[in-house]
Amino acid sequence: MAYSRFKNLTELVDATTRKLRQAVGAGVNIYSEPSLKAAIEDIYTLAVGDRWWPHLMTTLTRTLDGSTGVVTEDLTDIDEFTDIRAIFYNGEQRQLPMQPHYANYNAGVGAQQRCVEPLPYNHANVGRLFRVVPATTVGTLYIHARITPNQIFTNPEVVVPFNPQLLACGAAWSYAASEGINNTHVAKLQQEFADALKGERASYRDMGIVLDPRQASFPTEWQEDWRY
Amino acid sequence: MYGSDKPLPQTNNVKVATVRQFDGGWDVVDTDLNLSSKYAKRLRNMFRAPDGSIQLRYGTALFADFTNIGLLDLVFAKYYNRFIIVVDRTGLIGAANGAGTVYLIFDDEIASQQSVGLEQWLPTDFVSSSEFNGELVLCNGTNKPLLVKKNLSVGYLQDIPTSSNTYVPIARYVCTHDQYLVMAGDPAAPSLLHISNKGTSGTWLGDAAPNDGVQFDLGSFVPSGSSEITGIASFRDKLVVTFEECVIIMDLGNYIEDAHNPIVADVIPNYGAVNHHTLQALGDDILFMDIVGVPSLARALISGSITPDRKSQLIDPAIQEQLAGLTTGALREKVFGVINRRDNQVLYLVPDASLEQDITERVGFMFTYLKKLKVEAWSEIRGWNWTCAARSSEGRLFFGKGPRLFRYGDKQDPVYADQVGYQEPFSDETIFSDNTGWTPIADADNSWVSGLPIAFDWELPWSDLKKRGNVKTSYYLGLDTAGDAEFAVDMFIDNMLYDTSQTGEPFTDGEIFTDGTGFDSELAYSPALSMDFVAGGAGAYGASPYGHLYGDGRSTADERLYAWPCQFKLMKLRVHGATRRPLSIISMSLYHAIGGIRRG
Repeated sequence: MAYSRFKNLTELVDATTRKLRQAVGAGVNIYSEPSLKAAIEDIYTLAVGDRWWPHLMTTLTRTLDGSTGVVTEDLTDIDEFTDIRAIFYNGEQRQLPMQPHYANYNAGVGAQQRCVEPLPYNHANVGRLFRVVPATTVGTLYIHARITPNQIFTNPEVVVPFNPQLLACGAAWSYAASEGINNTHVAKLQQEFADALKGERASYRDMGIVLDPRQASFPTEWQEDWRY
Repeated sequence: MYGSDKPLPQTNNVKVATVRQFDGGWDVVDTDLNLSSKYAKRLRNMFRAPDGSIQLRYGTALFADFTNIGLLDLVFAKYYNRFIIVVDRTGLIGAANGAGTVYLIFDDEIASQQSVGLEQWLPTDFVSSSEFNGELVLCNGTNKPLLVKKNLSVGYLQDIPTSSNTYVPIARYVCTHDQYLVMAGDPAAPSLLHISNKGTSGTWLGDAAPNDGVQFDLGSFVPSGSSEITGIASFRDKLVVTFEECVIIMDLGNYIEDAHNPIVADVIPNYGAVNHHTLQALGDDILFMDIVGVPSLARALISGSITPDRKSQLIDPAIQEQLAGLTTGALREKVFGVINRRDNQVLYLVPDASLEQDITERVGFMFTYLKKLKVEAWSEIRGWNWTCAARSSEGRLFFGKGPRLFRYGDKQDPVYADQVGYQEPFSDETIFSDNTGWTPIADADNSWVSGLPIAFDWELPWSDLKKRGNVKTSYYLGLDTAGDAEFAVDMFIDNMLYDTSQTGEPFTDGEIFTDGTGFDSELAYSPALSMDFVAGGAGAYGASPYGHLYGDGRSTADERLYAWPCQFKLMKLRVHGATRRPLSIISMSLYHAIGGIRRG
């Protein structure tokens, strides 16, 4: 099974508890479990935000409604507008730009560039996250975005899609640092976390990427690798 | 975000405070804000065990049932010649052998077979006994005394040469001292001491010679309080006679020519006894219960004089509170004590009402007395309502209630629940509020089903971890325990013991009544931290039957850490629960750090 190393929240709490040399088991350490869950969530949020991790990216295909500028379906598993990396219109090879705040495109008059604008959080269809201006645009959108699994930290059985060693080390480091009773232990966990993050970043290094997406094919004389 | 990789110096700020010395026992006198951790503010159904731990008291198991031979409510039990002799409220006398087989040994029919017109005792609420020359004498203060012989034949005590009991006194109390049978509690002469002829039990003043029987009125020796004798006991070479507010020490065996001339050796004021059955001789000491608490008498090593001491000083208010509402009659008849030689304990049981039909519980005050180890520790025993007790020659304890006798557990033959073989709890392990359960029980032989859970509660004093002004941060809790019972540990902080915002305990699900109150008028505890554990001897999966922990739970045998995060200046630990399994707490450790003086 792909990504079999990933663990759910319960398993991550157990792994973190072990690193802290606490007694392990569901509901055993009732006073450290909530803190550890919060720490795991914090580390996940920080680590996921570190970059566009390829295994968390997906491309959704959606149709514009042609009247309000929004797509006709919610963007499944895409949590916020900032999780969207790029939006492509029909067969275009360049992504749609953000609507400039200094231009009055919403008036719908005069020359204007097709662009996207985030929906406010209280919009009736906020699950679609953005709209296209002009609102009457019709066609298909390809949305490249980061997945956030549904109920990721509210349902302890949902798999948290990230390096579990990194999450456990980070959470244990956070907990031990808050305790402050053994600096050596804190330093060890911190080092372990830093190493895990470094390793996670390095694991995507040597894959080739397309420098100019408008070209029809890869250059044959040379290749550009993806590096951070 | 991720900090530097630079290693930090190896330091460990955590300190470990361990409480493991519990010699003080229950103490209600001293404020628990300034009390050593060897004392307990509450020690209910637990005691300081000989191994130094705090141990759950043993339970009781059905031993003998006298229902089928017609006995009703037992008021007296006494081990005699491999049998336990019992007397019920109607005056019937029965016996149970070591296997629990019961026999009726005295009733109207048996009495009439001995002599036409002879009858059993009248209904009685009080019986005392003493062995004399291998025979057991029973007194009740209403009828003439009875004599139980080794073959369990029972008859009225009489002067053998004349076969008459005309001069045998009617008395409530009897004891054997220095070849004399001594009786007191004569309803017609409450301050009079009857002393038998030397070497015989049935020959008393007035019987034919040879006879040195004598009577001795102690009324004029009593300096204060009632002159009614409340108990008599033999203590080494002295006869101890108790009154409400004084104790008289007597020497017997002093003769002027041929006349026995008892001597009053000493009068000790301000110490007394409420009941003959509270006098318990321990060898070097004799203990009894008066209206203030439990005094003792000890004989001085060199001079041989008798000196008093008040053993119950630390729990006197609790004893006084329990005795306060009782009538004089209840004090004389329904309070009793028994020695548990196997565990070096004396147990006093005091009812919560004066009339038998109103009594729902007899609260026990248990004194653990290990003289060599200088341990004198009290504890409170709850959930019992025994009406009598007996101790076998092997030191086993038996308690009576209704027509049944129950055996108290001990280390050699432990029992971990109450009334095993007779009652059982609901499926959720709860019982009725009067400390009873279901009867009859489904499976008497299955100790996992039969018997009532023993509720226990141990509350330690407040502790500042020797730094009163500093804020302490606790991180982890560690426990050393034995047994396999489940129990809860609470920690209270900063002198906040109760939740003063609500009156009464909530339901088990935490809910209270819609008017904002809970059960009882007691304030609910308000722990900052609370966690359930299972003692270190609990087995793994499969070791426990259905309905128990399946080897699950927080085992205290696990040396990994249990998070126990809290900040405080003062802390108090409490261990409590209800169980039918064994439990001993050997030590409790708090992993903590000392901080500054400002509490957040």
